[in-house]
Amino acid sequence: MPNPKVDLKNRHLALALAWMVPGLGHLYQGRTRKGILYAGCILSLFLIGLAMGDWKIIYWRWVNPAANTEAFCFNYIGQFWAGLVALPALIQGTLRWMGQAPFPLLGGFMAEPTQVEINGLYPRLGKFVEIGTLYTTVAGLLNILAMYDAYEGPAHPAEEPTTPEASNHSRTDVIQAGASS
Amino acid sequence: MIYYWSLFPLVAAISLVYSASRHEEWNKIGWQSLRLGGAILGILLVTTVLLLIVNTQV
Repeated sequence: MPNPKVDLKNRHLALALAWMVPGLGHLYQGRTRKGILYAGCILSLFLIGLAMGDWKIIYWRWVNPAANTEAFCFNYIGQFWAGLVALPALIQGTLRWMGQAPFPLLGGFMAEPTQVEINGLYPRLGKFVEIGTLYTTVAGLLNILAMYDAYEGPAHPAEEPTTPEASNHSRTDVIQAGASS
Repeated sequence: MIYYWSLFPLVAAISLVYSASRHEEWNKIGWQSLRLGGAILGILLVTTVLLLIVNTQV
């Protein structure tokens, strides 16, 4: 149920924008500082992680996860939710599955690396391959939280300011309710 | 040793984003993210110490 104390505008549109670019849904809702916070945290985590893995740790291949668990890109399930920044992997993976060359505008960006390239990452980068994968996956998962916030509003919204008139009014209501019962 | 420093940006991002999804007021977001970040680091530290103790005893 949407939070009545925060103006979420068109929350379906906000949800879509929040997936596309972390924080964009909040900027659309006028929650500018929160949008900047989400964009800063999520995008920087994602990009730092991607750089740690030499820009080769995010890719997607279309395989049956039940039949070929080793080849299934489990991390991409989380990375996907970081938004458009992770979408080239899906495009490149789909082109490869269709037997076509990598998308020319993207070059080889987020295309599945060869096994030799993957094997060469670990001796060169060490644990940064795993840390980068963790960073990018967590960034995607955190954007799910941000998307939920754009759609439903915060779990604990700001308290409404209490004025003496308001508290007197509520006290009168309680007294009247007690007298009538 | 440099790998351990990579923990801090991760914990900072997780605590800030989680706290921002819970609250709308900035002082509450700040306090909760500090508490949550401290709790995560504390739990990780205790777990590491426990595992080190077990590791040295086995």
